[in-house]
Amino acid sequence: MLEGLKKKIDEMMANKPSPEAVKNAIAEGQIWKSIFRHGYPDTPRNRIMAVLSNVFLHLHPVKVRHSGVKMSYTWCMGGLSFFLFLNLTVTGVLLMFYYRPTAEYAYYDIVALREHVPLGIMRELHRWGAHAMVIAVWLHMFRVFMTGSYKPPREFNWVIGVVLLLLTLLLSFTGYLLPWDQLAMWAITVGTNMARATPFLGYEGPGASMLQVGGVKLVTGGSDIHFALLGGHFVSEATLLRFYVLHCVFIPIVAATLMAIHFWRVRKDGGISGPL
Amino acid sequence: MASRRNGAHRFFLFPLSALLFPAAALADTDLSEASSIVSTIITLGLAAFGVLALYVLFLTGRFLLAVFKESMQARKEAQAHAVHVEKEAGKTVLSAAFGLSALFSLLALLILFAAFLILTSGMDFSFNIGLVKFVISAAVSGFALLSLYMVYLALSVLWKVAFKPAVHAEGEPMEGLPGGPAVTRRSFLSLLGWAWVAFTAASMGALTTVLRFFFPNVTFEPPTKFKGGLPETYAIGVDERFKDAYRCWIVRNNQGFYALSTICTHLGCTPNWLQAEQKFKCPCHGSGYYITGVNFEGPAPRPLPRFNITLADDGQLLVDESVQYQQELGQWGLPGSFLDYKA
Repeated sequence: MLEGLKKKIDEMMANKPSPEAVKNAIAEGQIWKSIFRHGYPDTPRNRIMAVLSNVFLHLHPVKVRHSGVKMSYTWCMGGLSFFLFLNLTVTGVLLMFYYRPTAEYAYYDIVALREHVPLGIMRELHRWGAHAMVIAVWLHMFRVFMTGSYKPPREFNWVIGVVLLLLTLLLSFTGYLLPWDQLAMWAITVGTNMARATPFLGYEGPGASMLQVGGVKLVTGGSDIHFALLGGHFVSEATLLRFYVLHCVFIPIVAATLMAIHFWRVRKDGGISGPL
Repeated sequence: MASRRNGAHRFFLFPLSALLFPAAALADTDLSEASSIVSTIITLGLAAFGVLALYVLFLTGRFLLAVFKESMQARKEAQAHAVHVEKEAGKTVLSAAFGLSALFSLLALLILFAAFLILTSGMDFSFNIGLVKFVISAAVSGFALLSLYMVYLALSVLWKVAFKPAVHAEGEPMEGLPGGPAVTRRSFLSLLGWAWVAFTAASMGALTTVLRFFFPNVTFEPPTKFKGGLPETYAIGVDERFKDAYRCWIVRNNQGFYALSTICTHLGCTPNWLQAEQKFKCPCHGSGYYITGVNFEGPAPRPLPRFNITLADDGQLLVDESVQYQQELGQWGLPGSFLDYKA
């Protein structure tokens, strides 16, 4: 057995591998080929293959116009919004390792995240990233409007974009409650009180009083959209948990799905619009 | 042949029946104490029962009419051609099964109608909750029987297709359901299509019950009624001892007591009582209220509401926050909005 091993080592020493040979051996090997179905992306074909055969890149256009990457035209605001979303996802998941959404602990966990959790800047990154994302999304919308990129054939992508704007604002709003301090409590109290005035669904809204059967009101303070949103009649621990789940699970999943559609449609609707 | 499409029609019952899920889920609720949303769901579910029943009745009528016509026609033809018709043994079993299921569905229909009529008549059921529960349970069982019947119909179609495929030439109508419409390959596939649509619709309908999940049955909030201690323990002026727990100020003046809501009528913040300036001042947007609760500055659109305040049997103040009196509606003169009490 030792003889055989020695023979193999001798063989390997005899054919000294050049860097070129090593590169070829790897790029032609089964492991490489099984992961990347194409060669090194230095030919037009391989470059296209690199985008098409990658699950993340395939949402992206195979080829982008020079004007499409011109910063003075696109401001890169869509890309920045997505970058900030990724940043918020990573920092947000990290924060979840310490934060407990209960009336007893929520505020102290937020303080702890700043005072004695390692890398105390994590919560600050999340918070400032959130502010930046709202600004970036607005600027992205402004740019798309000013360059007329909402016009056919991109009109449906504009619609998806508007929904994404709404989801961004909802993420911002639900995250607002989580520090559980006086500002959070009263900001959410004020904000959610608007839900009471929702037409038909809120008990103080127009039309709600019309919804009654045999004199029994259907939309009351205990059965309207405001009650469902808060999990009670006013902002309480139930609301904190509700907003936590919306903030960390529900809205991000919906937003990420819509983002995938948004990016995919950029490609399907003719790529990033260019200057006329 | 119009009757061929009957089979497809029947499967419309499935999406309709999806409406029944919420009602079935809540059938055990005590209606006299149910919240309005629960009774709405039950009422809607029973309305769906009613529509379903009407539709089934319509179908049954048309069905029976067609069977009657066909049998009359067949008898005429048989007489005309003098053909001897042999009675097959299998047919007896099938028609017995059909009769049974028809009986069941008729029974179910009757109960459905009873439930529907009783619950839409606007009668007061608080005197007999047991009866209501019985009717609702019976209606739900009736629906289950109807479902069984529909499963039986589908299975009998499958049976025909599976075991008698080669006898017929392509496009020729096969023998259909017992006493039912003829089934061809095309109409069967169309039936499957409708069944798929119906299944999807029913699943989506059942999923809407998830909405109910967002309305908790129990909230961990302070009770709306509380005792405020003996009146002698209050000095003239604004008392803040129940501000945190019950969001209520108890104010005493020379004539007596009133209980003010601490919820700013602008956007719901809690104002502060400023003793030196003798006013309630909201820190959020600057609304100001007099000690009476009437607004005089800032964006607040109306005065703070007052709560019902009375004396309990043991001589303590009793505040009921579920009863509110609004000044702009002229309710501050009503009994209960103010407690006469002179030391």
